[in-house]
Amino acid sequence: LTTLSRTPHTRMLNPIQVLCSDITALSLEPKQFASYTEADIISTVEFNLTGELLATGDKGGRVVIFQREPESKNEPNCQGEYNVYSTFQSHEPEFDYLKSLEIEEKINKIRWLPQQNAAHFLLSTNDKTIKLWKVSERDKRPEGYNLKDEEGRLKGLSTVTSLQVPVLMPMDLMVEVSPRRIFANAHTYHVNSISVNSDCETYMSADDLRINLWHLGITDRSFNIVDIKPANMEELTEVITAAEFHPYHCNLFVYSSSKGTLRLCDMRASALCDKHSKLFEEPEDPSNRSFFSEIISSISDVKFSHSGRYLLTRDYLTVNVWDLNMESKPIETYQVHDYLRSKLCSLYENDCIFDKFECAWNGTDSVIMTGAYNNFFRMFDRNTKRDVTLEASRESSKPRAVLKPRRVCTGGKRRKDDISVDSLDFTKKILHTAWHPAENIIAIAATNNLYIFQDKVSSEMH
Amino acid sequence: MEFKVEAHRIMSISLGKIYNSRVQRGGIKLHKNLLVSLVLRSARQVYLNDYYQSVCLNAQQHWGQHEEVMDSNQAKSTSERVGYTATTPADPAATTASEPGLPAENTPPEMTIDVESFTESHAAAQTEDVEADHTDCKDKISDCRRRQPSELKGAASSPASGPTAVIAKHLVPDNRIGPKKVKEAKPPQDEGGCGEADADGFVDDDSVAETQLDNHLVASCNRKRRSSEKAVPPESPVKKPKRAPSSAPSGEEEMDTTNVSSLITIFGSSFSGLLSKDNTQAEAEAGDSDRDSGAGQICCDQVLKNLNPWTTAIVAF
Repeated sequence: LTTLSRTPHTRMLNPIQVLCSDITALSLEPKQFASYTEADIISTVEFNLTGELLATGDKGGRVVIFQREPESKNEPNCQGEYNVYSTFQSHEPEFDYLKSLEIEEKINKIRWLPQQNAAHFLLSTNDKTIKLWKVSERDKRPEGYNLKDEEGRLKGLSTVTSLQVPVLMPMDLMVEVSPRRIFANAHTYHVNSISVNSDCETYMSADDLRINLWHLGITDRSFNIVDIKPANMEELTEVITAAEFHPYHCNLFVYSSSKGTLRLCDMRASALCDKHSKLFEEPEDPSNRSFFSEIISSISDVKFSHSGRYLLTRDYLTVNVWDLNMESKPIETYQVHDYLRSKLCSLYENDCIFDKFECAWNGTDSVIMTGAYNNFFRMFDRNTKRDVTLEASRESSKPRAVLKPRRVCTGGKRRKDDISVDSLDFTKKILHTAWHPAENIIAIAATNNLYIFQDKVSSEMH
Repeated sequence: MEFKVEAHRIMSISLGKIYNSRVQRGGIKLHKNLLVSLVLRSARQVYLNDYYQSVCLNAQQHWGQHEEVMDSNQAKSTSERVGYTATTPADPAATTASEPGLPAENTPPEMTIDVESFTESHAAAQTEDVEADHTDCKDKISDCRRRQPSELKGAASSPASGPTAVIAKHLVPDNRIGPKKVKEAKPPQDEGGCGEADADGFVDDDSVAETQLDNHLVASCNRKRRSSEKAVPPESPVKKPKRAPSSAPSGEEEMDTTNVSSLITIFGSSFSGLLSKDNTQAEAEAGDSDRDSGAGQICCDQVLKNLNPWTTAIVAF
């Protein structure tokens, strides 16, 4: 059960500015105290390459696609809203009999393919299997068959007195989704990332220890391009946590590790890219060493900038911007919630320290965004170095409401409406966020709810 | 001391997580278990560090008095297999066979096992390069892990190798004290490359309480890494006590346990039956160890203080 609410969203770096829009699709909003099942928890959010479509995957293996309505001439102030376009069951729970393991149906990642015809294609993956889905529209149907009547029943031959050519007649729009490819049995470990190559023919899938390269048209084989599995598993020291292709260099890809390192690999160098071309690693700060130093340095997400020049990484407490030309350290580091540094032990106990937050660039690579706890999400402007904390909640999403900047007070002077660290709700975490490729529209997944915020002012400026 | 308590607590929590991960839907998560094992190892090193510091203090105090005892033990143990293979209580028959009538000899294993509850010894696999296994697999992994960035950066040992270095410093002088029966242990830093396969190998279940815990550590540590490729191991901490102690523990040589065991020998205290095969026995026999000599009792008490929480941790899971 997802809720879709379009609410005003403050413009980047100027949270006071009020942007108005109506909340749409009230019918989609759940009752105030409606409970949700674990299957409803959103596990991935992804805009397609034009931003017209937004796909979400949940723990129950379902995919919901939203489509942006074209701008209405009647209400020029109301930008296109996102409405449900299609819903389908992508993955089902499976059971590996050989290993006596259940395979979760949770959708780990969705990636859209660049559109090449009227249909849309997306890849969705759970822990083991990647599927290519075709999403197409049907708004016409043939009518006037000779042997079948309107309901499809066979006509009596004696009633057929003349021949007619069936004609395509308009019908209500129907969105059809069908699985075109199923890429299975290639991963021993849990798949954490998929990334479509800029050549639009291949894609890669990464699990904890291996990365495989696929051709979109071939399901019965894949090439292993990275393998960090040690000969002796006792020597295992790190795992792959995320991987992505370069946005336009089809030979380059990057993968992050649980040790906090990034490796840029060039597929032209060799078939097996175990040797990296570049290694990005920041030396550990010895003053910050604790029992949990290794956990919090594990990179949970990596994203190339749209320009292809920078990398954005997220570890537990920070987001970092790396320049591909400098391997020694990130060029920018932003503290997401440094006040948690003294609470790592508690966060370890309640497993929160293992939460994998994602990060996102805006279309111009000037602003980066990531989620936090208490349904907070953070945005950092790289140019002005200003940052803002916003909350995705029903209270803040009323019609024409302003998204008010939030503040976590860490001692010292406390302002009104500040939230203390101890009253943060760690069950409300925003792990998955997405930014429209071109406009200031963001999609925030808060547990089972999806919030879409739009910057009204900047869109009016377009 | 505060670090010790905290480290202990973190270790218990980590074990709980590893155990729970085995029943989680979707199979064991390799990434999470790896991180938990890293925390476990960090906590263990801090704990051992504190522990050895206090043990060393005691050793230095009593060294002169018990030197003769140690020599006699050395003479009797010449036939003993290198390392702790024969001295692990998990295989009391072997122990008895190789060192008949030597209660003192039982001491090192007991103490060893207790210490090994934090290290990961007792590999089932017999190994020739026993002396290569002075650190447990996690220590090695720690070194490896910490060395890798160094190697990649070409820098000296990273700050992260601090705890390991500290422990090594404590252990090196102890090593000199140790009986000659034990092969010369090398400090962890002297270990070969990261790829050195620790003789720990795949750990069979010992039925000793502490070794159970220890094995659980190793087993879960090892198995979690293999879990993705193997079925979920049927063993669980609960089942371990029921397993016959038939599996011969090849006694992973841990430098730290070597030294500790020698220290215990020095104390001349008897820990016989301290760490029995059974969880419940362990607590019962804790009383026996209380009858030990005063010097040994210091260590013994420390062991006992640690023993119950561990046992509790095991039983709880």
